[in-house]
Amino acid sequence: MVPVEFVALLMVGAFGIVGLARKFPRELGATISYAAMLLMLSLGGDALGTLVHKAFTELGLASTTNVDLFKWFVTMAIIAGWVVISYAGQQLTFQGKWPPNPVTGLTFDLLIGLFNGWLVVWTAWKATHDLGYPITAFGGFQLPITARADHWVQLAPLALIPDKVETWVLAGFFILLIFLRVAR
Amino acid sequence: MAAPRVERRSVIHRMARSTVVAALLAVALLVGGVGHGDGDGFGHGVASAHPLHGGPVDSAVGATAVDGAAGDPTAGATDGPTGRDLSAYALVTMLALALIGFARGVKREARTLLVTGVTVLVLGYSWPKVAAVVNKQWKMFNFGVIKRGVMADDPSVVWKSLSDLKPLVPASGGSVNAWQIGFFAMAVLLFGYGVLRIPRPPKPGGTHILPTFIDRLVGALLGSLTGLLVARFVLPRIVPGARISIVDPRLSIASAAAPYAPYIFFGIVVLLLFFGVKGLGGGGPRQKVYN
Repeated sequence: MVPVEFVALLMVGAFGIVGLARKFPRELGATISYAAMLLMLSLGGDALGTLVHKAFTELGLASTTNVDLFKWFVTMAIIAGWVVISYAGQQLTFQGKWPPNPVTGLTFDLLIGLFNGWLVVWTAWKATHDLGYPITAFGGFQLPITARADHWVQLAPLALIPDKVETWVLAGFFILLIFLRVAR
Repeated sequence: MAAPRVERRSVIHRMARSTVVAALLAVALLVGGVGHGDGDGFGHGVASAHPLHGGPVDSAVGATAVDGAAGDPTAGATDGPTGRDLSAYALVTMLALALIGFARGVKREARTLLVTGVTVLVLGYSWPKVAAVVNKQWKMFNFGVIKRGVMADDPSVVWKSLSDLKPLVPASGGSVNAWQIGFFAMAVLLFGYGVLRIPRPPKPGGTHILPTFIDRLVGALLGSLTGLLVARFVLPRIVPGARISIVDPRLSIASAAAPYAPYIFFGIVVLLLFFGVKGLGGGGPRQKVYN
């Protein structure tokens, strides 16, 4: 069985390839979208899961057991939906001439792709980790995770930023990207 | 749009520049090649473990690496924190080569990284085949040039006489590490850095476009990756069981940098954004368009 950290790396690598294909200006546009997603998850990710679960329970569409699994589905739906929205249709592509140089361009394409991958995949992994890996219910995933995975999962964006300044950092990052996009 | 920065350079200027690069390279290789720490990274050298110079081998971790020389010398170093931590040497090598990368720019450094990567793969994983090819060429050289077998009345006799010729390059044994480092250094210096390449004289009135700052910066990044490859290839072959990583928290560099890791990471992100957006061009006088 493949350890979860390698699955995460593989997925980030896939984002890197997407970055190479879509190029830096488009990928940076997607970064704006991911910054917004992180800000939203930081402000109300858990509350959102609880709210949706409550609403579904009152409608008789969700059971009172497996609450974490339900929250996990909600979080993953948000993240997956956000990725689709970021890459499909109208995009926040940056204006300008690209690449400045073939090799430099490739490097930046790859780096921004990997960065976006880290934002998405590590956020999803951290959310799964915080919920105690409810996906073990499906049988395709077995606990415990390795010590390395336990260490790596703490490298998620929302785990790296100190709690006290999390909102400020994410909002600042989001506003900075919006400013750069508008200023061009 | 601003015109690219150009410079007229003489052959002497270019050669002086190449000499500086070669000197930095020599420092990097010396740091990687001569130094052998005792666990504290920059610590005092330990003469006791120097198989290239015939010194005894660290029995705990080195025996596997040297005995199975045709294989991967890091084999004895992958498990457990028993190997010597040479991450600091690797870091110095990376910094030196990053400096060279900054001076040379991304275009030339990309070629160096490619050559270094291919050399690591070929020498690290296919050494017996490399040795076989070199030995065959050596035998051919002996046959054709030294013994003049082509001119002989019966070339097969000369060829047979060479059947017990001692191989020039060993496929296994204690000296393999030295041979591998030699081949590696030769390939990287000649094909990667082109140290023996004679600069072409500039065309009359010709100009040489200097790399932009962003190209230099990416060149430094690629140079540091080259440095990591060099360190990971060379150091374990000199100090068996050497442990090299800039991310493993059990080793000196990563553990020292751990408290600053978020800041380093966010610094890299800011640089990526800043220079990426800068690379998109523009910045000239803007005109407002009215419909």
